[in-house]
Amino acid sequence: MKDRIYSDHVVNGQHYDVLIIGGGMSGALIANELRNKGKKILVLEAGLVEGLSETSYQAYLSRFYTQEAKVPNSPYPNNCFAPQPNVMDIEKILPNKPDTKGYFVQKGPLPFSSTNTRSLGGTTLHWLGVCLRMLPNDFKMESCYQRGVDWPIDYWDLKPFYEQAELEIGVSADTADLKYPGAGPDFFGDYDFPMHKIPPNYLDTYLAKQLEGMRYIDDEEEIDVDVVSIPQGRNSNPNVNYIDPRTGKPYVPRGSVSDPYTGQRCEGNSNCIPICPVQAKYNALKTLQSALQSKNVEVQAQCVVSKFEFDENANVLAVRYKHYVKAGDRSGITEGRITADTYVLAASAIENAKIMLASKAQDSSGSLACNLMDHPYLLTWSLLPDHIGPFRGPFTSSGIPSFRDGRFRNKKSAFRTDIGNWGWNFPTGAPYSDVANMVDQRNLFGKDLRNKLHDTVQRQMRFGFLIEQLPSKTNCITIDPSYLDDLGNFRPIIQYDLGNYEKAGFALAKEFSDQVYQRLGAEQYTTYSPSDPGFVKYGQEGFTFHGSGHIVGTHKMGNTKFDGVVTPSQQCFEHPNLYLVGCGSMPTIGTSNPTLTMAALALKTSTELSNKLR
Amino acid sequence: MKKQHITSLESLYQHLQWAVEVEHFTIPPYLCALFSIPEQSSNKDSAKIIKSVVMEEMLHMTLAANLMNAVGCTPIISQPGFLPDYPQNLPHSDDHFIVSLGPFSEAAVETFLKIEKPEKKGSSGNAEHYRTIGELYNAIEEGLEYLCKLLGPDQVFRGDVSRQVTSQDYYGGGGKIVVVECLDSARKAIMEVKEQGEGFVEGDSIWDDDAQWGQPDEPAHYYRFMEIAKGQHYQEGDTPESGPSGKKFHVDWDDVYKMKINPKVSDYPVGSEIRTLMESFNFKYTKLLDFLQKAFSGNQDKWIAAVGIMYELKYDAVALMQIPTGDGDTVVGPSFEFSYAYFRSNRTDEL
Amino acid sequence: MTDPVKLDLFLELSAFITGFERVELLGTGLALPYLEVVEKNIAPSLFVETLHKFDDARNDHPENIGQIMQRQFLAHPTYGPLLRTIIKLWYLGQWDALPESWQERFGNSTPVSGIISSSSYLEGLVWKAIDAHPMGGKQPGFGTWSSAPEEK
Ligand SMILES: Cc1cc2nc3c(=O)[nH]c(=O)nc-3n(C[C@H](O)[C@H](O)[C@H](O)COP(=O)(O)OP(=O)(O)OC[C@H]3O[C@@H](n4cnc5c(N)ncnc54)[C@H](O)[C@@H]3O)c2cc1C
Ligand code: SF4
Repeated sequence: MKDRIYSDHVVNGQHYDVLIIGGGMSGALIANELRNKGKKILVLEAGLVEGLSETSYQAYLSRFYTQEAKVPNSPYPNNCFAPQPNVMDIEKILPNKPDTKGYFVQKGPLPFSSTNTRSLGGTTLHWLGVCLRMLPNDFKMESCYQRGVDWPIDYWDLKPFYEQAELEIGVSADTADLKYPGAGPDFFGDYDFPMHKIPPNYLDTYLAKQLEGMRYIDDEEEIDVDVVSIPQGRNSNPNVNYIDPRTGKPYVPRGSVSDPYTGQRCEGNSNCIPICPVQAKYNALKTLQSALQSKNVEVQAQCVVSKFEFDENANVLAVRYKHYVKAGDRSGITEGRITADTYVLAASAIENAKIMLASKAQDSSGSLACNLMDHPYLLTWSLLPDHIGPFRGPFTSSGIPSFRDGRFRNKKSAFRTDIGNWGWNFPTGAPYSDVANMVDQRNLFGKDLRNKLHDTVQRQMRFGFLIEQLPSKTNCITIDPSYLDDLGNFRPIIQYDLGNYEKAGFALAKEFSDQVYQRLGAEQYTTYSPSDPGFVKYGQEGFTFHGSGHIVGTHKMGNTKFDGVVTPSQQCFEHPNLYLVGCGSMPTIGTSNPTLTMAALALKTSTELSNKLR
Repeated sequence: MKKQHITSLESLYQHLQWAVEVEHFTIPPYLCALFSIPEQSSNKDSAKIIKSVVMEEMLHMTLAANLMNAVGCTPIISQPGFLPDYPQNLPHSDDHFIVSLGPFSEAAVETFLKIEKPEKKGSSGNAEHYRTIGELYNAIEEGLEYLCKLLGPDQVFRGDVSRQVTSQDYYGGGGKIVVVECLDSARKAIMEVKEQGEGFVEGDSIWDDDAQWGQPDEPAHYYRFMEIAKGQHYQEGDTPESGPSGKKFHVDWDDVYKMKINPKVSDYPVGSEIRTLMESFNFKYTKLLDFLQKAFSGNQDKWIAAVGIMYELKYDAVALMQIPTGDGDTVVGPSFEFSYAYFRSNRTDEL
Repeated sequence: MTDPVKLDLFLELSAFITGFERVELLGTGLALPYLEVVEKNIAPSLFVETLHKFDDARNDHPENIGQIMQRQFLAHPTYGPLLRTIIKLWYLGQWDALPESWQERFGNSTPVSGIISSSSYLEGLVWKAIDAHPMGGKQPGFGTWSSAPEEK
């Protein structure tokens, strides 16, 4: 397998049956599905080949341990030839002055603070692994709520692909527990997941008990509140009744790529973002490893694609890229060109759009590089009256899905509530900040310090609200020759804002959160400051939002070339031998983390490609 | 005519209990050697090998417990007498060597080789004073066969299937848990133990047979320790006679936490900081045995907590190995002694 | 070779200001590395002086040592910042730069700052204090997070 992964530049001038750009989850899934079709497949990856060997994965981990700011990209070194965004670069954007501190050029008015990783395996190296299906109504927002748009396909079209994606990722959940508004009894049918649910955190059980029978009530809404476990792409006890269709045998959890005995269960490292030390959490390296079992699949790393060449029929003729020997070493750069019968662009939503713009691709829909969406993430935090044992186990294990759908969606955003398991880590940088505060400000030392820390942190809880963002033409990506990276490629220029629909969603979420804390008798510590980069005003109120890492919507699918960039199979309307895959194809974002849907779409695309390649 | 060693159910139960004891007996010495290798050490390859063996010993102990539950009796593991008093002979063996708790060292690896010594070709069961662990398992297998013929399988496999530990709960390491319900599955379980480790037949091959589970084949335990002794891995085509010819690796006998050999709580005065810490380790270890006891008695929900304690024990053992004993040379280590304190605070009502 | 008396005093002082037992500090395996970090960062004479003052105080007034530490050490303009930094070193595995004016007077010219090593992060006392494990290391094992915090 190692023989078919190249760091040195060996593929220049070659021709492949299928050329996949990007070695993240979308690219890996397609390579893996097509691996046995007798076709030559190349995955071109911008970043380094790291993570597949034990030593290189350990290097990521050691880097994480010694970084002071343990942000999502902290284990993954920045590479100036394939730069990546970092939340540390997010600043308040001043009017008429683009913020150029990080890789993205941020025109605002609000910062786009979601990130992706440019290294083999892509963003799944630091994703969280929440794997939720979208709800039926999420596919028809326009017809149901006169908001956003309808998809050209519906939930039922995707359902079989969701099941396939849940198998490849290895999702842990029990359908009997899952209760979603508007889902209906056939949502799962008689299906169940390959592994049982991740055991709930103590806090989940605590909240479920305290919130039992709670109804949220305001002037307009009355909503039953349920605490429900979250399906996750991390290993749990296998479901003995689940027969793996690939082997005909009971499902076996898939551990680390360098040691299959490690990571067969989530071991509670409490570190899913930024790096799971044991790889109990799915990452795309697992799928790549499987794809590379076939001699048909090759991976060429350290090649950053800049653009396509098109022929007179608007088919892609070739792809242009630059190979580098070592990040930062200009003398080692060579240009390359590869041709293929079929091209798959899987470089993640923002990069996909950027490469299309750089190629001057045709687009009659006016939606290429537009409709950039995320789940603006609102936090609230409080101290509970009881100790609940935070900082144990995955980032989140249950949530409150009660606001994922409802009549209110014609006026304000739906949202999903995460119950956080890591105390105030996200909002305040706990427990590090608590130590600094107690030592430097509260003048504690010795046993008092130890006890006070224990008592405080043990009572920390937080909610995270993932607010549905509507598609908007003005949230978009552009390019400009005055903003280039060190390899001479365009840096994405991002224009991003939220509307009143989303802000009303914030207000609803905050009101709900207040009611919960009141019921729990918790001391609320939530504060939003006008100096926060993501601060927005809504009427008298102000809120601070963060990014969720859910980069969606830059090449939406449509029914025709006039209302979308790609078909429901993610084939580019105007450049027929090109497929744009990834979250970019999603017309709306709903309230589920997008990657499971993205994976289902990639599997749908693979099915079509498989048939075509026969 | 072969000598039949096990001729009654009582004797079968007794010998199965011994099997559980023997499997457990190997774990503390292996763990001490493993934990004495620092995380960032040049002995990574050796640590990996020892870890893979310990994981499989835990599997074997669980398989032995499944065998016991299958024939309708419960393994007894949370009793003072269950814990060995190192240095000690392999329990119920022919006593031809002694096993100590201590750091990773040449002497330790030599002992490990003795523990895992392959049985002689064609050797049959030896139940009273076995020379290799394989002989004990042979005796058990022969006893099972004999009793099934004598009493009928239903009279032998009388256990409650719901007490079996399954692959739902058990994970990690090579090999696979076998649910034992009949003579066939019992043979499978015994085979599993023998192929990975003890009782491997001399001269046959060096590889275990984990490929049958879709896992990579690894050398059997004896040969894995031989790799350490030689500083070289086996590769395909190697035989017991040829020795390893694969990748060489570095073994540095000095790059270890030099844990005191066979430490005892009683080495330190009552109430001293070190003693308290050692006692707290033993408290947790005894608790682990108690939880395993419950897990093997039908309370599978205790697995999660038991596994949690295993992780904690590792961290505590490594912490003990950072603390100088005061003799100017060695550090403290875990003593794996029975904790009467745990016994008193948690168990009185149940005994 | 490190002076064993100095190491011993450093441990005694550290135990007192962190609220952890000496053996717990030793168990991290970081006593020596941390002593080195302190010595790299501050003038040797000040460090020795601090250790001896502490030794005298606990020998002379064992019954009142808590208050003495508070008033004469942590509230002291020279010792205070140093001790707080040492507390954070043990709790977070990280050397926080001292205020510039302090550093100019009592510090070494090339201070080391930031997280000392992977193991200093993993052995941070904060995790023990809050009854958790360092994020990304010393994992507690599958499903352990379901149990109530006290009954672990
Ligand atoms: C902190 C965080 C948490 C998240 N948690 C979740 C979650 O819980 N659930 C969920 O559903 N989603 C989650 N996501 C989102 C999820 O990670 C992404 O949706 C998913 O990984 C996208 O996969 P992809 O293959 O499309 O892109 P990526 O994974 O980003 O892969 C793209 C690949 O293309 C390569 N590439 C980029 N540019 C070029 C170029 N020019 N030439 C060649 N190669 C190139 C990159 O190096 C990379 O390997 C999270 C994201 C973040 C940031
Ligand atoms: S909790 Fe830990 S073991 Fe589990 S997925 Fe997250 S990082 Fe991995």
